[in-house]
Amino acid sequence: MENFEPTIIAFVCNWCTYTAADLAGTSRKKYPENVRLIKVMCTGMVDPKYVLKAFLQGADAVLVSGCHPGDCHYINGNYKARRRIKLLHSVLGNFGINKKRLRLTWIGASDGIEFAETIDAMVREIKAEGPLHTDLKQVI
Amino acid sequence: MDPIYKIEKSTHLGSVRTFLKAFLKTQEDRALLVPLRSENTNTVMPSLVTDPDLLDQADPFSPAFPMNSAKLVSKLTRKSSGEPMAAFLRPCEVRAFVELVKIKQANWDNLIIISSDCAGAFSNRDFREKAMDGKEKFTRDFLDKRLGSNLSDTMDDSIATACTICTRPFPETADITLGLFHPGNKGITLTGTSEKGAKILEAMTLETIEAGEDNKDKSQVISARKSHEKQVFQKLEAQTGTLPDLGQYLSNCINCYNCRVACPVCFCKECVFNTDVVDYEPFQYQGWARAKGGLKMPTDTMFFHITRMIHMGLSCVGCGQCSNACPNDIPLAQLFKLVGEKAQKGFSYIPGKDVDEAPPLSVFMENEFQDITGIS
Repeated sequence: MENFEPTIIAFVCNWCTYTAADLAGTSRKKYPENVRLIKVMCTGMVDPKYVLKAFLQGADAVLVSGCHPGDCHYINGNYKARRRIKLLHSVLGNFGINKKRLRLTWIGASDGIEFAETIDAMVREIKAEGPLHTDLKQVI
Repeated sequence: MDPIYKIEKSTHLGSVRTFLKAFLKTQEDRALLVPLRSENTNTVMPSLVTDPDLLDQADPFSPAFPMNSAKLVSKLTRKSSGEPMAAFLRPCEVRAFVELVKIKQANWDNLIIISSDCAGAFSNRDFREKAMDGKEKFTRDFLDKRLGSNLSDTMDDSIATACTICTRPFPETADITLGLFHPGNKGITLTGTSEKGAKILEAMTLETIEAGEDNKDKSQVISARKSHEKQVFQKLEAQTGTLPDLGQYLSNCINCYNCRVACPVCFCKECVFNTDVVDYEPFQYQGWARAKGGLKMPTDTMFFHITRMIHMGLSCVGCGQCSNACPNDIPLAQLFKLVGEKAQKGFSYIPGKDVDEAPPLSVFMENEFQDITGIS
């Protein structure tokens, strides 16, 4: 368990959180390499299937992150994402994927430091949670 | 208070047939979708009837539940045919129909829905084995026994699990509601539960009785069902609490997707599992096999079922047709109902109750669910 390095898939929106991640990089702000960023145009296009597939293919946690309410480039994509994440929390919670493993955050384009801190906190949390064991043969 | 009418013949079946015949005679231009017993094979199948004489074979109280007829009513009403129709549906079928009306896959404008207190049904397999040869007598005995025991589930182990945990066996939304659940007689009560339903009953010359007379306590039935449901759910939660556990639970799945076909609220016109999204390259399978040391084929079983829960869970009306359709007897109905009800609770959504209540994922508000964002 001590050497457990979680895999975290992060769906980040082009306009806010991806830009924040970029800012973290250009500011030489380091964050754990456990996270794999997938840039999407908006959190509103994150199909619940993407999240589910990420878990079933070995992710220990998934982060969906976009613009603050009211700041969405497409006006309301993040509100739709919020309802979908709420539904996912409820459905996945039945099968041992708790809310810590699926996070929704709002990180604006200028919040490079907050992005790095968020990833930091999430990695710490998931290390404590342990692996999801999707590598077992029964999980198909 | 709307008047309550009553028809009393020597059997419930006799009463309902008398009513349906009178209904179809006064509503000449309507076709009626109703479970009809085949003279030759004794199968009971939903049929669209225009000839009142055929209603001597109508058997809406038979424990046959071959499919959820909401799908059929959707086929019949998705576009206006210009002709009015009517449908006799179980309460869970009405609920599924309401969900389909919301997403514009069905239309209630030119339709009269007749629904009645539901005594439950057998799985298709059990019905074929136990009930079919008994013909009409089986329906009569079944109904007497079920009504006599307050729809209690311990009396009859043949009832489908979905029906034993059904907490909404009494019609909530219909144009004409038939009451069976009163002691001591073979009569049925009729109530016009919508404006158009009331008008139709008014035009038929029926005997009126006083409101509320000899109705049994329905809340007792519901609370007994709820406690049974709780037991079933507790057992299920222990069986499916982790992904590997869920994998075991679904281990007999052959990805035939019958559950999806049978589900009345699996609404997509083209399912993603029929598209090239899951049309993988052969080398991908080998990669997955190598990663795990072995790969159950066909693959994506959990991906399919959990995706279905996400898609239709909020609309799950608990009709149990998913279990009924499974060729390998995977008890899906209780799983989908458990997951569905939890999700519905989160959005304070009751599927099938009100056509004006928007499905949760079709709307959003600015200031809601703020507790789900952020890292604690």
